[in-house]
Amino acid sequence: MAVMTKAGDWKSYQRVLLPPVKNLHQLHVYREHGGYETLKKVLTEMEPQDVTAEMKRSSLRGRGGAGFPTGLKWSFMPPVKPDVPRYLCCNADESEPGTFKDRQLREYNPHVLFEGSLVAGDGMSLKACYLYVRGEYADWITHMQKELANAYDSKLVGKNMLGTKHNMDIIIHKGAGAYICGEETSLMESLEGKRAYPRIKPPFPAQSGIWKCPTTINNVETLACAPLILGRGADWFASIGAEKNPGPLLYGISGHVNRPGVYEYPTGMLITDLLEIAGGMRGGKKLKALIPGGASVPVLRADMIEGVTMDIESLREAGSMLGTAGMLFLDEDTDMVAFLRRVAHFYHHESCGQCTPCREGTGWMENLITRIDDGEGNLRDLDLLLDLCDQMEGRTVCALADAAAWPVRNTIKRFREDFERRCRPAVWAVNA
Amino acid sequence: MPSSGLGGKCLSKMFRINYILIISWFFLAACNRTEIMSDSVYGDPGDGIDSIPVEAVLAEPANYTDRIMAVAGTVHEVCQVNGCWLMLRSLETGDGLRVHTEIEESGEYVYTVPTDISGRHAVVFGTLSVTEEDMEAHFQEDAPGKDPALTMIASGVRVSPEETR
Repeated sequence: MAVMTKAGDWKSYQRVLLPPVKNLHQLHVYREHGGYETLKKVLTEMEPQDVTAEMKRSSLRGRGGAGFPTGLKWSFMPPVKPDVPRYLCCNADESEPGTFKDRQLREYNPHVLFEGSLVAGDGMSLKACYLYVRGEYADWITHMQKELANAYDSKLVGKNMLGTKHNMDIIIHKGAGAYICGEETSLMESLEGKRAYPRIKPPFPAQSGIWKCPTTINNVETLACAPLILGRGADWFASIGAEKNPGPLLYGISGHVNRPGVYEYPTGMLITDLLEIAGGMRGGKKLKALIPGGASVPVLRADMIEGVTMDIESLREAGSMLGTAGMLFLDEDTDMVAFLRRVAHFYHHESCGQCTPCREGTGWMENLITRIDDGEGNLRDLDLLLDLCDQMEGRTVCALADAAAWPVRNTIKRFREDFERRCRPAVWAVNA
Repeated sequence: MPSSGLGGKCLSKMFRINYILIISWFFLAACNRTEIMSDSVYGDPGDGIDSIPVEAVLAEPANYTDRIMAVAGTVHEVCQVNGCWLMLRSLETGDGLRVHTEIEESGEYVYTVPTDISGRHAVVFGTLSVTEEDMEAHFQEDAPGKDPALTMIASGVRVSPEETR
């Protein structure tokens, strides 16, 4: 008998973010399948405060990793002042290792993102949205620009959208490929043409964002959920998946599985079910570890995932985080020291260098892990690494230092025997 | 010289007029400023929710826990490190309600309040709950002393400009 999970009857789930429709990226196909009808409804029948209230009622939580309630975030925007512009910014700088779900949306369903941005714009009474896309996604930028131009030609974006008095522009901005630009305040600095150093908060973006104007920043998948919520209703959305963290979710599955890829299912799926969907472990090997939400979230041992579901609460109880739902499965042959060395190298390379604990700490982290991986480490290096994590967490302007420290701390804690095996003993035998 | 004497008189009269004008300008500017001073909002403005005095909530907390509500009272203490919590206290009994700002999954604050709002009247919006044990230890660390049994994770705080004590 099938076990009932928080995801409910997921086997009969119908995809809504990436529906199985051929050429859905083309405007006429998107419109044939009801595209931009929600925008019409929002512009002609709803007041901005109703849009935000509906988003709040849906309990949608941000899909970019932080998991903050989206409707609540929208309500943080201050009252409209005629002489002060307000901005929406879509964070499409998807750079977290193991995360690639937003790319699928941009490729196969870009109009749902445009429609979501326009709906959000109406809900927050603003006139411009920047789509900040990571530089490495050059092909997808061209693809999106072409579709955006079609939407402009059809009067769906720009002045007098759909024949109403509403105006809003969407600007696609190409990033230069820095991981730090995914952090919301450095993204704003980058948009303004400055070096992408994170800003100290407060002020928060809702008070002082792009060009010191009120700004809201949302992830691609989060904005893509907005037309679904306002078109089908908050109750429909809230009925999908886990109660406190509902809705459809794009699971980016990678690592040592037979069928890696992006899978759309409700939130609250059992990790074991998702592994089965992805074809099980490659070569019939055993699972050793799982990173459930992108490289920065704490790693889980295989024995820790039994009964754990993919939602914020369940993963928190298990000792990890949902993050971006970029799931990286590692098999029994994985060398955890080499894995951590690669992760540490990434964070060292991507540290912006503004804060000393992060700039120096990530470098020392990589050096120490490299020494252990090369067989020249000492047992005391493990405690030194943990001490280094203490010196980095919570001591920097942005969360990159924390994101670099969490995998190190948790991988050592949960796979200590792997590290100890590679270290030289603390006391050397002395020949008499 | 008569001409210089006349000039001196005119000059001093002009200075007097200028002085009066400057004083008047400052006075008018100050009046104007008083007029436009309004509540400061941090996070969700919580429009349309009627507030309940903190005294009423603290008197019968069971009636109010686990639902979204607005509580009004005087700010007694504020987190001096980040502005991530504040304490509303009943002026009658001295009992308190600890209010926390919302945080993201990554542990980052989504808004904070200024650290200098002690003594001001505030309305907080959020869900009331009984203080959890693990949070209690953190509070003791931050602000030792008498701890309230009630906590609110506030989605927004509205602070009035004038002091109430």
